[in-house]
Amino acid sequence: MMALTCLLNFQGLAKLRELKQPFPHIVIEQVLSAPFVRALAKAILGEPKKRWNTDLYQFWQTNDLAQSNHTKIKGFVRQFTSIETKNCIKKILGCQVLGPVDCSGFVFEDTDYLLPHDDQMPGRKVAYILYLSTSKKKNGGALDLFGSTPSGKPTKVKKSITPRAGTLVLFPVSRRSIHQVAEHVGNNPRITVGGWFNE
Amino acid sequence: MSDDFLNQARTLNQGDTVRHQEGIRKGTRFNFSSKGSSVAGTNVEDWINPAYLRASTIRGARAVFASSRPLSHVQARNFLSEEKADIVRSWLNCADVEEVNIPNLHVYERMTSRKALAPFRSLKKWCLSNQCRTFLSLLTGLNVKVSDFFPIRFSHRQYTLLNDATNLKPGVDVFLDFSDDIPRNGGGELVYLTKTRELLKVFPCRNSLTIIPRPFGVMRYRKYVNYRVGRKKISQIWISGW
Repeated sequence: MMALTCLLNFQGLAKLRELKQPFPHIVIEQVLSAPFVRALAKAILGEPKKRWNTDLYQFWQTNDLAQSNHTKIKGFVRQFTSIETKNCIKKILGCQVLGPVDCSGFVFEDTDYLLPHDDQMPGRKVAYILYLSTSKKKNGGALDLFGSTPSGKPTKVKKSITPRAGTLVLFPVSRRSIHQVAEHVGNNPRITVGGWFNE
Repeated sequence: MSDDFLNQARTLNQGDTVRHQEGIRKGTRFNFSSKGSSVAGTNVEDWINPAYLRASTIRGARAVFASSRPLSHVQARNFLSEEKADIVRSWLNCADVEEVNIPNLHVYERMTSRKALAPFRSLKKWCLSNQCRTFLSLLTGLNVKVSDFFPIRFSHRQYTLLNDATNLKPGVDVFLDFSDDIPRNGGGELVYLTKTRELLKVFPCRNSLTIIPRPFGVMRYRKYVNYRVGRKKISQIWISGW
């Protein structure tokens, strides 16, 4: 597994794109090797999951991955939640994230979705999504980023990020960070690891 | 039938006559005609399925309403005459709509312009009449205040969300449904719940009248309408509670 910290040292910089619109976010491609991505995706699919079905979302979610007994997951969590990763995030985004890291696996099946929201909750500083599967545009499941008015009211989708295995998306949580996961269509599940770095 | 209900129903009738007896004797037909009314299309017989004028039907509907748990409700199917239902449905499908799009609150279509609402004039008149109000009261035993006439539509990718900023006041939800045949797994159902549990799901049902009292603490949302509905639409006219 390629550590997040390594990216800053060499070719990672070329793959790292910091973008400001519609709100600050980072997209890092190929943050994990393809074999590791496949292994992690398989591990996530094998984890016990809870089905959520509310007004705002519909998907499967694992327990906190820090509690998993799976070797691949344990190794990933250890590295992803390390102080080195947190220092790296501080360098990239300027956010101090020394607190705990929420880390769950998410599986979206046909018609699953996550409607617009800003992630704001006490303690949450940086949101992240690590894609473990690749979707075609016709399958939906894109991470849609909304524009917003100065007072924080969402307007419309300004950017869509189609899932691509091995890509990591990060963004500071604010009243402007309004986003959704568009409806997933099709039989191949959309698999991610996601959560928040806390202050 | 309790005395309370009878008294309640009687006090609602201002100028209308409703003939009924304690226990609604079998075979009784209700006469909702307004004395002196000369406006076409404002008599209940002009609109609703004649079966709903029979005491047995109303008695059955009220029994369903009274016994449904954990949230009282009734959905009267084939409510309008088929002819009238088809006419209203065609109006709804052809109407000019405007999208209400506040992504973190709700996304749906509504008709508010005078031009869009013009075809519904006679239906609106009946819905807001004392006859309709009396009829709803007979079905439920409640004093239902009908003051809205709000045609709305939901199609693919539309929804409403629970939102702390828009707490619904307690009331009674009453709506006429003219939806296309929406698949059960297509979303779009109304979900009623409290903070701790889900109480009721109401799926779109073509040509029906639905009545659901919503007491304090009961919230409501419209489930996201997913791609399985295709181009079909959920079309409803809310006359109370929207």
